Amino acid sequence: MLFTIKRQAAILLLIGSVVMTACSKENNDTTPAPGPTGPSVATGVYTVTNLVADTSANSGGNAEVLYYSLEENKVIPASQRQTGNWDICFYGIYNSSVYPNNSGAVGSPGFGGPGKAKIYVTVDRKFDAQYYDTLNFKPKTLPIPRALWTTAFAAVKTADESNMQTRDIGLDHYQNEFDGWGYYDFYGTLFPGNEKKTHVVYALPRVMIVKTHKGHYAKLIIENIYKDSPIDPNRDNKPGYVTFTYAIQMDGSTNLDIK
Amino acid sequence: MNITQILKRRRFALIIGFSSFIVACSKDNSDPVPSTDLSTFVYDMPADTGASMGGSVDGKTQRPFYTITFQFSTQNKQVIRNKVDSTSLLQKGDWDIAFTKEYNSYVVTNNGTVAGTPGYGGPGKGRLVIVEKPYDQVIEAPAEDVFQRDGLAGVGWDNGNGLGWFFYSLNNHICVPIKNRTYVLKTAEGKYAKLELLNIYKGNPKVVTDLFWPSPYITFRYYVQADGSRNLKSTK
Repeated sequence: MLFTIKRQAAILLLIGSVVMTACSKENNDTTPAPGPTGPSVATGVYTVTNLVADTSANSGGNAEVLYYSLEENKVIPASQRQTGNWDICFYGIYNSSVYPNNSGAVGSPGFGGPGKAKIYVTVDRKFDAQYYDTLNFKPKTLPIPRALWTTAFAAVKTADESNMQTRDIGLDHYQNEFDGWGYYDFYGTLFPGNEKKTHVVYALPRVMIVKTHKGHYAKLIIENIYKDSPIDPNRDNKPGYVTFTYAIQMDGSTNLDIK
Repeated sequence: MNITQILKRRRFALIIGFSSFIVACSKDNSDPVPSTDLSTFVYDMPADTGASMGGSVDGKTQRPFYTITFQFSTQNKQVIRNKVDSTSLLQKGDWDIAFTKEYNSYVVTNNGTVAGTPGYGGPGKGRLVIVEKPYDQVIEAPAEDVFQRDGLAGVGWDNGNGLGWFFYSLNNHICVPIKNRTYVLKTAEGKYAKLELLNIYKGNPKVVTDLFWPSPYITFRYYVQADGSRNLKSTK
């Protein structure tokens, strides 16, 4: 079953991944030493720009899992995947699945490890309606105005522990019924006839709430997965460069009204 | 529209040559499935075989795949080609599952409350729970609280999170159904059923190495408990 015609195009597809199955099996019987933990960041807002998920990848298909510590605002090496040193990972094709580091997160690198992180995505349909068809689950305005990211991020003022889960937050309603952080336009239906607009991922102004491994709450919004954050990405843009902003609360409270 | 591909147990023996999926059962060659199996086996149901994701496949058109609905009790299949079909056919209780999206690979229950799914706005009460057990070992539907907690509208690509029915690798572009995973679901009218999704390729081949192997031809097996109970023991 070829989901697309040209191999080159197929390589750009987001569906499916064996990458992580392979990864998670390899190290099952080695006990990685927890790496040294560095200084934690202070409560505040941090922006990570053009985080290269995989320097060798010219396609989403071969993307390596990228592990990130929100506590320390840095990338964690894959060798520490079964430690509590990271909070979230960007996994799968285009690094589109954001998994918490949680021992119960089926299919993720942290599965079976010590991780206690959790995640959920906030959705406000009234807010969504500004740029998004809330019945058919796709953007109705492209490019989505950048100001909406700022508004969405500021609007989240608290974390709700009862919403926390161990599943990944991924592509919005793509072969499932879950709200996600990004829309995948498989057919290019948003731009009929424009071949360069097929298989493009559009980040949505949606905020994810993370409980870090150490138990601190954070909010995070992905702005783009293409290099230099093109406002109107197409297939010429290079994927695998994640740009996101997060705010973390270090006092242990659920207060995310952080500036 | 009836599906001629539905084979009764006797005829099923004829296709056993193709159906190596059921290896264990096929050894004595006389009875490919346990003779007491009360399940319905649908073999090679053509879904939307006229669509492609691109324009250069012979005989196929580049367009989104039509939704195909299916009713368990009658094996009735409907093809939803356009808005008229959608309006007249989808918001009804006379279908139980729909094969939707890319290669008709996202299998969705008929539920009137789940926006974005074919049954939205209709009377359907469908829901689905993934059970990590071989089909034959699933003899009772999970309790209602499990449906509440873990219930899904449908299953498609499993990106690793365990919430789908097939793997799809970018390395080979082959859809690989996940074994020993069963889908317990509620029909449109709320009866319990179990479903096994076996293949998307024509002939139900055990292994596919050719990404242009004819598809989607869906092979699946199901059993509906007509009395409304949770009992899903499908053998006598």
